[in-house]
Amino acid sequence: MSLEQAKQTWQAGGRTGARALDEASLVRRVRRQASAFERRIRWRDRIESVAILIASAALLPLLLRPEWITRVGVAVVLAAGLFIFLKLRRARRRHGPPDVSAPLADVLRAEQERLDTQIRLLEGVLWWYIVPLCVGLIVVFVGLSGWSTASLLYAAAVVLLGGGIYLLNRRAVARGLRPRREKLQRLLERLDG
Amino acid sequence: MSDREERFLRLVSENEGRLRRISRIYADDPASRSDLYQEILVQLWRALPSFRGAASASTWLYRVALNTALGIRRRRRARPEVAFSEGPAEWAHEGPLPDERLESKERLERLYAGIERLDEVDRAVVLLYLDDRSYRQIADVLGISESNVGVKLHRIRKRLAEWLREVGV
Repeated sequence: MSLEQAKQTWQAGGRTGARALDEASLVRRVRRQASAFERRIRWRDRIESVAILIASAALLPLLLRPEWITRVGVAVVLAAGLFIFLKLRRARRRHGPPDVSAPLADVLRAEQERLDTQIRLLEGVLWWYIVPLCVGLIVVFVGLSGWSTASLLYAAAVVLLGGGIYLLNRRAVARGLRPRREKLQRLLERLDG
Repeated sequence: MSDREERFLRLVSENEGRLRRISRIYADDPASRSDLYQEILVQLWRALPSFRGAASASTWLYRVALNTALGIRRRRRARPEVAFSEGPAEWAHEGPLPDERLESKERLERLYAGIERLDEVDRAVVLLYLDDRSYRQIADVLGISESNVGVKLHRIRKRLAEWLREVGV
């Protein structure tokens, strides 16, 4: 079979594969799936804001405590929460949802930039997420219960938890984001090459 | 029926074969193909209001469909690619061919098998070539230069022709 024949076979295959559309049910199904997709995106964007609002509401009454050290700790946690929220929102807005109607090379480059931002965020997660929150939470506890063995144990637990979160983030970069970035890079090289 | 629904249905009915072929070459089994086809329809529906006619309708449709297909594959765990030069795969049909239609179907299956041995980018190029798109249109869909399309097509056509000769199609 020559390539011209291959072309004919290909196009004939497309014609025989065509089938009658049940228009009403197709539109219904696609509308339903598109709505579900958009709901998922909206919920993903809102979940961080909701979590921060809940945590802030739970911590705010502690600002009225008489111990200054507790108030400092709460202020640190709230400031860290706000900073985290703004940093994540900025990263998301900077890249926005992919434009699926753009040329393939543009979509791949945009995806690569988005992944680079994610990798940078996760690699620096210790400094902009874990340390400020852990320090704030330890200071709040020390303010509430004083310098004691319980405070030491609590601090150790918070540090361990922070360490676990850090390791999980490193793992996500190494096993998820970097391989995806490399795959994108290979695709771009194939496109350009 | 709304204007958006009418435009969507027209687009899908005019391009159903193309969309199914894209699903076929970028998904491995019937269930995944059906999922991919549905996902492409959803993305076409979502993107439709932003279609302003800057590109032709078919260029726009190929972009949405190919970006969706490749996006889904990227999100999946990477799997090793089969080298083009490896021997015939499990699709080889050894029984007698009862009629011309079956023969033509088998030819098509072998063509698909050859295409599935290409990497994701080359699959897109050959798909557009077989769909009779011009170099300009292929370049517009992929976001590369026309000369690059020519180089790629030259290489792919050679490999595909060798493959088709090898399997005696």
